[in-house]
Amino acid sequence: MRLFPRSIRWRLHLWHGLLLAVVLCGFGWTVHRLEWTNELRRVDAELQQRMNTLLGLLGRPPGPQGRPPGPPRAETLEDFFPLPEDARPPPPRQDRNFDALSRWVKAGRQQRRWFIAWSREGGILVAEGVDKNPRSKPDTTRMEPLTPYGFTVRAAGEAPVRELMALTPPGDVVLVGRCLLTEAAASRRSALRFAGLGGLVWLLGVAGGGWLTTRALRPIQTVTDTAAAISAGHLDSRINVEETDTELGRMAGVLNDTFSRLRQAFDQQARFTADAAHELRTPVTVMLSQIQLALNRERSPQEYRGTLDTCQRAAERMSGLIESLLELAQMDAGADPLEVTESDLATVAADCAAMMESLAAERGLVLEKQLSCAPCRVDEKRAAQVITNFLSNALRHTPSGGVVTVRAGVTDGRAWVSVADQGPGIPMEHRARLFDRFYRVENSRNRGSGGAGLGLAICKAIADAHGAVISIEDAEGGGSVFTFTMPSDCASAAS
Amino acid sequence: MRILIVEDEPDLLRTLAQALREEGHAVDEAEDGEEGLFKAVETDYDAVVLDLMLPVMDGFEVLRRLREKRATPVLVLTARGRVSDRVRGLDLGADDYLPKPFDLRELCARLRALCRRSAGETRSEIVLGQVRLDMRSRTLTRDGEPVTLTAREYALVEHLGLHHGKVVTRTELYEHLFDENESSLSNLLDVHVSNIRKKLGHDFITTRRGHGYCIEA
Repeated sequence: MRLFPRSIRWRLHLWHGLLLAVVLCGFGWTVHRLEWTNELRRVDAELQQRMNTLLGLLGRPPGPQGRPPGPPRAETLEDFFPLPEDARPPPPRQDRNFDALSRWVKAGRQQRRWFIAWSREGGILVAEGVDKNPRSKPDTTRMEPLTPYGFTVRAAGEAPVRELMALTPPGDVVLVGRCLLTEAAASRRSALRFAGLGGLVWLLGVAGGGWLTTRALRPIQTVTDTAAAISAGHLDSRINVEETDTELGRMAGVLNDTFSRLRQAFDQQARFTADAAHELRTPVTVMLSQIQLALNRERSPQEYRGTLDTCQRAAERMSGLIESLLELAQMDAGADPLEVTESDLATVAADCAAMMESLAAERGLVLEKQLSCAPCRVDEKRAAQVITNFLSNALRHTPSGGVVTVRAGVTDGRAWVSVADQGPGIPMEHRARLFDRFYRVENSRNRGSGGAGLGLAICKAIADAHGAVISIEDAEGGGSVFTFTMPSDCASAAS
Repeated sequence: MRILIVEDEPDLLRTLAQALREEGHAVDEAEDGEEGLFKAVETDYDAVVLDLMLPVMDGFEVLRRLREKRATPVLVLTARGRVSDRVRGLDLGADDYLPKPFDLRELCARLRALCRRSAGETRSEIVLGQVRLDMRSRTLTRDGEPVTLTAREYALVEHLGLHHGKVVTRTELYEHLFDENESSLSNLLDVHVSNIRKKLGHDFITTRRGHGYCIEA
């Protein structure tokens, strides 16, 4: 494995780790806050109780009809403590139960608790456990009687404190507070525990996630290895598809299909190239040996003429072959787009037949035409090429004195043109491969009568470009019929 | 030497036949596999030049069937240069292989080598007493002096020389020196032998009455 980043595996790891960390942190923080809030609520309840006691001790009733003050309202401290003021020492109030107060104070002091009571005028009635600087009376304008207000104060470097403050109906303000040292320590401990636990969970999650990622990505590694093997030339390699139902299994299936198709195309191309080379080699061999023979010794002019004739034939054959190969290659590459026009296959066929007339006469054959209108949208030049090819094949294979018939028409809205010969016919087993490049029916592979075996391949390519179909049938009374049928959507509106 | 060429390309067949005839060989032609096989089985050729891509019956099949009957040296000629084709051809019993396009001189040299090997000779020079036969240049020297022979005469000496010490029948000589188109007049062979004796001495070729001819050296 590479150490870093450009791999999906590492990115997945990274994102997974990050997400897990965020979720854990959020969860931990929320739990921590909740815990702290609960703790404060408990502290507030305790403070409330103390305040009630204090109010009782100070001779202030806890509330009208003895109702205990409701839950404290949290406000910010600054709302109630505008500015420090000079405070007077609290005048002793004789009507209070000072013995009880002092006992209560002593107990509170041990637990780091304090209280302050301000008179309506702002003077401190009583204070215990607070700093030397007495605090000024809070701003009471926003306070409602007997509604306690709670706040947490955190001084830098010190433990937080919690204070509860309430306004008595006569206008005095009472504040009780306590230090949250133990609560803060407990909260810190719990936070640490959370962090530790969270870290552990994170590590486990990341490890598990890593394992899952590696497992999930293993098929991709297999695919990569196979593709690499194929690109290195092992065209027969295929991905081992084990889990065909998973997405990756299906992908592997699709890739395997692609590889097979590639392999096929590659083989076909290789065979085509080999065949092309073979077909070109033969005329080259003829030319080379003919020339070498001629040069071996002094020859008569007739012999030289014969040599040149042979060479010309070979060169013509090569030229024709190169022409056909180029045409096929161009059609394969789609370099030569069709020039489709409104036209009539019957007219095209008639032109082709007229061109082949002299050749037919030369071979002692009759060229018969049974043409009825077959309008369609077609590339006339290409269609003519197909028909001419059919015709020259038919003329080549029909014995002297025979008849070659060219027909055209429309059936089921599809324009067609056909050429029937009276040759030996084409055995079933050859028909499927007849349109393969360089394929020749074995018995006709005589160079005297056969072409290079590209004619029908070119016809097939032309038909494919048009979406047309070429079919071969047995003709009545021997021979075969080649039919070129255009697709139905090519039928012109005129039909 | 008598050679059969099986090749479906008429121009190439004609050219090869002419070239080999000019080399002094008797040449038969066949245009397809069936005809080629028939001739190759019927006649004891010194060598067969066989194209693999043939109509009617392909070269491999011809080779396979020929090997069931005869051990005639076969030189395979093909435009298919693939290793698998070559291996298949050689495994089926071809003795040599020449890819198209080839050089005529190479074809002739390979045919000579094939015939030499089949006669058990490995060098291209045969020494018969004072007479030296150079099969590369198709020349003959006696005591270092060049002797001029006609192509047919040379072919006769070469054939007897390749089988020197053995009696070669008249039928065999006819088979190896004349092709199928020549009317084998029975005394043609005697004329050639007598001409050779005039040039190389009467004892060079011995006649075994009722058997044939022999170079004993």
